[in-house]
Amino acid sequence: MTTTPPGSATADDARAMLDALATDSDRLASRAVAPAPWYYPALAAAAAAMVWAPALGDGGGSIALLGLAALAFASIASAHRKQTGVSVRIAAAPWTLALAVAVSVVVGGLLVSSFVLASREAHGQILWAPGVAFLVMLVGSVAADRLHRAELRRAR
Amino acid sequence: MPAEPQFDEAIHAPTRLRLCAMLRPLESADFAALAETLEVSHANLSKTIRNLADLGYLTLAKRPSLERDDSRRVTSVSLTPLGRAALDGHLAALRELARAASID
Repeated sequence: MTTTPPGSATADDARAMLDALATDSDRLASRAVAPAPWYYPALAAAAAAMVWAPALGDGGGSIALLGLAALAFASIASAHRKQTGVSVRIAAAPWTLALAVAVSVVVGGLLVSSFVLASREAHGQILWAPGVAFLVMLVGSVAADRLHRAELRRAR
Repeated sequence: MPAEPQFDEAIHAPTRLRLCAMLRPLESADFAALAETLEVSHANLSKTIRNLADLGYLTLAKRPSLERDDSRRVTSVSLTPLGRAALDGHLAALRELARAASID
């Protein structure tokens, strides 16, 4: 290892190599797109189903729907990892993580409010919450994906 | 904190440098994804990975594939902290070289 470049490395070489790395970053960022057009609506539907589950009442149906929706959510996210073949470091995409946490907090809050309404036997009033969860997850996941690509382009 | 410029001949070769830089923002990447994104042959990539792993710059992990019927396993590749430090120093050296030339 040397601290200075050998004579064979010129400024033109350095610039050409840095340009090639920038192109690779763009390719990597393009690879991180959603696997299919159904990806975002499917995530949003899973979030909405989770939030709607308490409206089914105290029976096993509520727990079963909650479990199925959580499983669907995990499977959809895993499909993304398989499609891209890469797993991004959290440190390389801090704003994407912040947005994902914010969306999760909102959806989690909606789920809690659904449980509260269900405990007060106000099942009819729960219906707005899944709609809001669907919209928040849909818009949030599209925004997170775009942010993710931008962060990957900058990460080098 | 920006890395100290440190030219590292071990990763100066284009495929080695591109591979390390590709892995820089990633936890890991599958072999096939790397070959496709870097547009290099499997043989070339395999040799490059082996050389960098021997230097301690990369680690390899194999896991079973749920998508495949055969017994072959998926290889995933990660940059080690040593590899990350070498890459950061080398990129700083390249940027310095490019910048110094443009000032002259």
